[in-house]
Amino acid sequence: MATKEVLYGVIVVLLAALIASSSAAAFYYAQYGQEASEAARDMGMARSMMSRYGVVMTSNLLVDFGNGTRHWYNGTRIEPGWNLYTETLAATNGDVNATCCAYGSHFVTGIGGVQGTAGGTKSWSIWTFNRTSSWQEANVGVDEIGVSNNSVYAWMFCSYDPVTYAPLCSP
Amino acid sequence: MRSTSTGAVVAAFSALAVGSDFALAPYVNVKLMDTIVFLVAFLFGLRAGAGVAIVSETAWSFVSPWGVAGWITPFLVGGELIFAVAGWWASRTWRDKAGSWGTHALFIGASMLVCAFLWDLETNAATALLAYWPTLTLGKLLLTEGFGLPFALIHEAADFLLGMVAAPAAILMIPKTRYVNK
Repeated sequence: MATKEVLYGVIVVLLAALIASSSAAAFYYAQYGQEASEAARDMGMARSMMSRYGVVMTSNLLVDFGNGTRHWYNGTRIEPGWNLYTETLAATNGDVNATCCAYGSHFVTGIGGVQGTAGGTKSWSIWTFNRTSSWQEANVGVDEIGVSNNSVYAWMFCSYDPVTYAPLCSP
Repeated sequence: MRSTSTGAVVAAFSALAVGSDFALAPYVNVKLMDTIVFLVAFLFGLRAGAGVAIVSETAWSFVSPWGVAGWITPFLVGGELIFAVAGWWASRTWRDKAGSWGTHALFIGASMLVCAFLWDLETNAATALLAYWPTLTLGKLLLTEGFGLPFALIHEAADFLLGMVAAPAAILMIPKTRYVNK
């Protein structure tokens, strides 16, 4: 094939490749922009609904006072962004004593009038629940536990191991 | 080529183009019409190719299952003429030149892709013109072009593949008529 014909062919092929790649890139860019726009719109709608209705999720909270009294706060209404401390305040109508915030989180000393004391033998511990591992003691501060829809938590007031500080009870 | 022969070629291939459009109607923007127009211009010259483009696109604009195209018809016909010009140019450039048909097929497929791009660019611009006139702005024009982008991609891919496979195969299968217009 003569050189001129090949040159024309190569030019056409390169032009086609340029058009194809540019069209694909423009399509991708347009799709991405559309998806981002829809995501922002959905987020705005969700925020609007939350501010209008206030509550969209619930959580279950057990408070065991260590004296035979156990109280389930089932269906406690929570909002996105809440943590277990906020939920506990809401469930107990603010009947919580806590110090703030030595290790980046509240340290709860009393709930519902049942108070732990410095140097005492009993204190409040936090427990989380899931279907696979059942109840487990939380190893982070109460503010670090983000609550979610249908989540289950417990506060236990009981003695603890003086060496390991592990609670000597479980829900 | 005599005018009667040209007329016969235009009639036959226009019928084939419109018939294939009906057959491929469920597949949006996949159509043999472009390939046929390109092929006729390649084999029988610009006049025959332009004739097929004008007759088949005009007919399709009126009998399409999606309804009458209306004022955009001249722009659709104008866009189809791009394939006729490209087929004629490709014939002058690559017909009867030494070289493998694999290479020729690639060149023809690429030409068809470029034509499909120009066709979509032109018809989308026409759509914007008709939809927004006299308040058409550059933003509205670009928006209309962007809206047609997914269809353009399908059109370009389909024309590239058909141009690479169907057009060279047809050119090879119609060897005698290739010399009618020489």
